[in-house]
Amino acid sequence: MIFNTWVFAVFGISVLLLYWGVVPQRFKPHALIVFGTIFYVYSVPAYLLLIVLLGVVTYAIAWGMLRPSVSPATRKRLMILGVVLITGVLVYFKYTKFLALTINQVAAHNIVPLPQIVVPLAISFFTFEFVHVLVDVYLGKIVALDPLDFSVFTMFFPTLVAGPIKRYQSFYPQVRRIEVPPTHTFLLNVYRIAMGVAKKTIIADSMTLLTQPILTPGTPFGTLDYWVALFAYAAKIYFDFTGYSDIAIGVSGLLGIRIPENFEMPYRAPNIAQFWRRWHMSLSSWIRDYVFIPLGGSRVSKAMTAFNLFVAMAISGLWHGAAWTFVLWGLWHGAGFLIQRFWQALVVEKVAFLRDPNPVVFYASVATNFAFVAVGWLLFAAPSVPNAYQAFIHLFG
Amino acid sequence: MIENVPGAQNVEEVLAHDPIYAVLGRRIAHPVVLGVLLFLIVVAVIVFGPSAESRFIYTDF
Amino acid sequence: MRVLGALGTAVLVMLLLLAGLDRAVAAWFPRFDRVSDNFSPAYLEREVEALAHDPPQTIFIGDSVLWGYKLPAADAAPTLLRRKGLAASNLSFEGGSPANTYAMLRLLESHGVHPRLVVFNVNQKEFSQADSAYQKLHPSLETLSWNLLTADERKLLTPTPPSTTQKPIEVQLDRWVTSFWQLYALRSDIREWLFGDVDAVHALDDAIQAASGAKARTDAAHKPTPDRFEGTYDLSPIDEQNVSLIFLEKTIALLARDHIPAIAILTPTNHTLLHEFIDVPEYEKNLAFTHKLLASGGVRVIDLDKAFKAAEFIDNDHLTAAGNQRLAGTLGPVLAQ
Repeated sequence: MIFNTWVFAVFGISVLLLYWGVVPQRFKPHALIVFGTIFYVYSVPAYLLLIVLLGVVTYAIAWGMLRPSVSPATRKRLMILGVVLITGVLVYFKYTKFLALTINQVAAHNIVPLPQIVVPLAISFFTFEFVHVLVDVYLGKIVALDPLDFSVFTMFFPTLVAGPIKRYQSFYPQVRRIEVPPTHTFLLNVYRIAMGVAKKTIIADSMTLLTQPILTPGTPFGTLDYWVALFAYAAKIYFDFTGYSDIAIGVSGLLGIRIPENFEMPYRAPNIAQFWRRWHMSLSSWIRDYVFIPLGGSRVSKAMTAFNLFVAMAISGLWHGAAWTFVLWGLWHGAGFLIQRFWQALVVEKVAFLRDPNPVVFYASVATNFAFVAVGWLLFAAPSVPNAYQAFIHLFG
Repeated sequence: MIENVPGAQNVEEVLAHDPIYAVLGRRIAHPVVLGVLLFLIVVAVIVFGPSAESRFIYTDF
Repeated sequence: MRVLGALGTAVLVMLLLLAGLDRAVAAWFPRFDRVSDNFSPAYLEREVEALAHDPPQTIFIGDSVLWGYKLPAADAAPTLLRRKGLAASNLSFEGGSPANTYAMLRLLESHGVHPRLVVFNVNQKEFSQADSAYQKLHPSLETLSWNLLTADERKLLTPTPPSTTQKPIEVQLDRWVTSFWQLYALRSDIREWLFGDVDAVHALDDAIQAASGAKARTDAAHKPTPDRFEGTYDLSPIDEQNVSLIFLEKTIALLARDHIPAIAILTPTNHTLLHEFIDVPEYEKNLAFTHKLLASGGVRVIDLDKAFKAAEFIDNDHLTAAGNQRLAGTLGPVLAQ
């Protein structure tokens, strides 16, 4: 079920009335599971089985790891098994076609037939939540896993489509203490949902037309059109996803549950590291915790840190879509991190004017960073790498 | 725009950074004021929304 | 419960304001010189209902030629005739055809509209199966007229395919909301009225493309050269299975049955541009056949097929502003009779 539809409006209003008006307090968690199931089944009935199955597998492995008698070695093996299994399912559904296409491209003819796989709704999001649970149980950050809490966590419909990617530790304590929010908080959440719909419809959807030069190659557009398209896409993706997040967070709020925020004015970030701390925060923190840090993070040599950054950003890119454009987009940001580190070490540290906080440097940094991010969106938006290159040439050629 | 505020504990603190909220303050949470705002948002969505509807970008992942 | 009460109050205030706005829209939303580019079923229904209450007048029912393709509404021939005092309404639209003319007449009939005169155009290209409106109704007209057509008539037409992005329940829900909410139902007409284009962003995009030169390049790429019209006109004899012929016959019969006087315009065609394709006996034969069919059914025919010079056309059949002026000048005296 997609948020900006009449069906969701009817579903949401019915859920709210039932949830606060009919369902007894102790059955509210159960009701959330039922609502989530209806919500998911509406979109793709067949794949309900997948999310339930993966949820059961995740729970079973986590339960195995939490048993006091289990040895550290077994616990590690269980965690690896679970992560490989979950990631394997994600790779199968999302990347098989991409792999086949790449193999055929490298071989210059069709060795592998292209599979016809429908990507299950939200698989990128719920698999990442399952990996988080498994790793955190292994690390001892999650010490107990109640089946009801975990089921609500898995089937919580406001975040089921596209996040924010939740953390179990901050979610489950709320499940047993669901309370009606204070009236003003409740109404502010309604306002937030309405603003989310407005952001999505008025701004993000309107920008689609202006982004045509990037999306449809071979059209008679000039440099001005490409520049407009560049800024339009930057606005589109920002308002689309913040609009979505506002609705998801607002609906959760109406159900008495607080979920992670996803944005913190990212286009006002003065550098790329700050940008990623403020853009799609629930994903970037996931990548930091479950990719970058396990790889060694920045506690290794400078060369290895750079390598880790590139790997983390490439994975983050690939997560966004099964295409080389997304990998390059991730690497573009990886390069941004490196440039920032070099600039900091070689220039900023040595020039007092740049080092000391002042508004000129700050706004110049914000503008430069925004330009870097905006040009990066070319790779994200373009249908292919040559198309992105073409758009780049049109902008700067 | 409605965005996270570091350390914010509730939606009100988050909304404190929203320009409309900043103007109207707590009155935004008065049912009548909210009703008027919802009306304006609905009309703006219908009038200024484009003719082509679309899905959320991130739901296609 | 206090929470639901507060939410209820907010929603009630919103609904009251929306209901007030809907009343205002119903009372004040203008009737246009012609239907908008992307007109809604609600607008068409509103217009037809208004016509049912107006004194009988001339109604133009045609395709993009009578609609005034690529021109402001003020430049279209029916508008020019109205400005000269003709009591008329222009129900032509882009994508018209004999099937659409017939469906429109059925819709008018069902609302009890009895025009003083119906003026419709018959465009030879619409007898070709390749024409996009050959057996397709405009979606808004289809919504309103589908149930008025007989099963046999419907079989001749290809209905708008179901949405690939919306489930049936979503389509139903949308129809339900549309049925009681004028602002929502008329949104495409409201946007065109406010922005002079499909919507605000199209108006903005037009301005950007004009500034960047993209519009000029697009126009140059789409310049109407003869090769673009190869296959547009079907020169094989119009047989009795031809869907456009069947609906033209039904149109003639309906007009006769309801005693509605009618004028058919044989659409002006750019013979200079299309010389190599249509200046052949087969074309003349089909044109004469259509002419005879209409005349024998009691419809007065104005043959404008070769009445306009190449300079008066935008392309193969759409007239320039000057062309529309001359069309209005030609029709004026006939309609005044």
